[in-house]
Amino acid sequence: MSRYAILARIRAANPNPQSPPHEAKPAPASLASTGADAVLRFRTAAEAKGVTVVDIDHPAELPLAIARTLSAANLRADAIRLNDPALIGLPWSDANLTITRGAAEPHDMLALSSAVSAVAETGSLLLASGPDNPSSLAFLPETHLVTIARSTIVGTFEEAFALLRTRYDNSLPRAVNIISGASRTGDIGGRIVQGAHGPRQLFVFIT
Amino acid sequence: MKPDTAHFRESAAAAIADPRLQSALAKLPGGLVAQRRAAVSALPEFEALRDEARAIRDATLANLATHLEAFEAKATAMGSRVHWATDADEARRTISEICSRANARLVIKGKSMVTEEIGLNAHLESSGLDIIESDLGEYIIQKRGESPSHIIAPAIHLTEADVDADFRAYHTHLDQNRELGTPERLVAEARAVLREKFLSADVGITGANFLISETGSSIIVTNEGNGDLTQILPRIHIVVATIDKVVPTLNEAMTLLRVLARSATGQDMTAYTTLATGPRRTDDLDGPTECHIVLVDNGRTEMLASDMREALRCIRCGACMNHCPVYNAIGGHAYGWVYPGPIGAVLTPALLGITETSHLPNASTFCGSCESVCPVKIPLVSLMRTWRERAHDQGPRTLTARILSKLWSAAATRPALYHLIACFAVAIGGALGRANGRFRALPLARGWLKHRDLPAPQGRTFQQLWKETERGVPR
Repeated sequence: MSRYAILARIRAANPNPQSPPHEAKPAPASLASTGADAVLRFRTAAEAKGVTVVDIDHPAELPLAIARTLSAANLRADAIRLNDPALIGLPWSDANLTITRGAAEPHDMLALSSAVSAVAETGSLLLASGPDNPSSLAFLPETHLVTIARSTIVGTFEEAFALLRTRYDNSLPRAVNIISGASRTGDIGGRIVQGAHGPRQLFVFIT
Repeated sequence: MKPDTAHFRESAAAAIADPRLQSALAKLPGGLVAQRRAAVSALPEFEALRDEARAIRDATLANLATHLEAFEAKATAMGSRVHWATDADEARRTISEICSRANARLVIKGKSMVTEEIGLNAHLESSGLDIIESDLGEYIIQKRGESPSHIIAPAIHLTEADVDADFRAYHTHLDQNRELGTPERLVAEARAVLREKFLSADVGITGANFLISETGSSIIVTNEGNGDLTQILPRIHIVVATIDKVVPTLNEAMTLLRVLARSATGQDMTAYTTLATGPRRTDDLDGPTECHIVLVDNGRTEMLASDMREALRCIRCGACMNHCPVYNAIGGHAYGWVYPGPIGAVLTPALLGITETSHLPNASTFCGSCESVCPVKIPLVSLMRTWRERAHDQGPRTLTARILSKLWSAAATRPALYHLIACFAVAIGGALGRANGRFRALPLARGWLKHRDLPAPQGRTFQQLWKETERGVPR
């Protein structure tokens, strides 16, 4: 069997596999930040990637904040796709948006996901797939909105992975999507264009 | 793809004479090279991270079998099916069997160099499947029937005008008088055409930037999001990866990701970095129902046992080619196979044999730029030199080359004789070249002087100068 043949050839090429395991080093100090600094750094890094970041004081304000943000960006939508029970109960009629549930569909204009964590060093969001946050929501719709709790914004990826480990105990959900800006490509003439296959715009709401 | 490495010299000459290719290549230094420089200077620990990345790769390769077994166990526990393939043929058969068992008709692909290496598309097409590449650059070259000319920017050899003409020729169902012309419109058109394919594909095939033993996950990085749609929408996801892609832990993968994106495009993180772990769960609303991982050897275990082992550290960022004066002059296609640039000049002979690829290690000035930017510090120059030596020992040589090499070694191993010849050359050359200070033409050196002048000798030989100074430093 090929499995045994390959492993045997590797072992023959590595006659002394007793070399000590590699000790992973902590993240570079210049990338670290905590607390309010981490939130600020997250915002700055995300904005540098073309992401719009909006602060809100109370989760109940989310629908109105979304309505205002969309209208400022000249985006129109009647429906918003979301599945997180914590978001479904919000006053969406305030924003004239109807909720659609389930996985994303080809012609969705707008979807809202909740992030597990966000990372200041690069302004990235960590989304974990599951019934509350199907991963298609982050890729099929024209515009993607993400909420993130201020308390889950960490300095470095190592801290975000530690959060994942506490939550999932090394059995990760099907997809963990680390999102750092909207979809883009530089494949035509070397110029960056947003909205290649995924969302054209990404909005983050810090609650 | 079928290799054509034996005609490197002819292909390189044609590439230099191709004005369209030259105008596309002219963007490289100002683009990827400048962006990398900015990203690196923004991170003070970048050099330390390169050492750390190298240490992670070396330690993993030193214990590769254990890490692969751990990956297999965890991936299997998470619901993936792991397959092993010793060579390209077995990998192709494994993948086509998965497709035929699923009665698949349309396969959509994310960008993957190993599937180029094993010639997957042609094989699947010959068994009656439709294959669509979804990375925009790959889609463009697939339609043209070309291979990638760069490992992260496969269509870098094309201009906007080329793509405009191609889309008009291929997308015949669209209005022939539509306005294209800008990258934005071209991208929008490709997005719409490919969206339909994503939605109707039965199988999605991606590569993997890394495989994580700790979690049994595959990691892919993309900017377009095409790799994600490829692994979310079709009912079957197949990951194809060579055995050297395994990394023990998420934290170690993070160090590699930190140097990968910065070295490749100058980003600190690509737009999408995805950890995919097994098929959809019972309560999931999307995702594939089957997830297969095909681990491919295809020459890697031989490299591991050879003096080319260090090349297995490569994380495929493409920085070596972006910084290579030879790659910048001729582009990727001249190298004749899937891996161009300095890493290609090392990897291709290891995978295809030096006999047919003996020109590739010569495609370098040994300036060392590639090594100086390699995020895992592969000694590319000395590895290319090793291939040159092997090509010299094994390869066919012309009578002229053999005579010249004999004469050279006879002189070089006899310092007194060498000095005598040098004195003669310096005296004659100095006298003849005094007027201009350089030569534009010399007998027997037409090829060398075609593109450059030879400076005239300045009166003394190297050995004389060496004696007059303190080991080369003026007293």
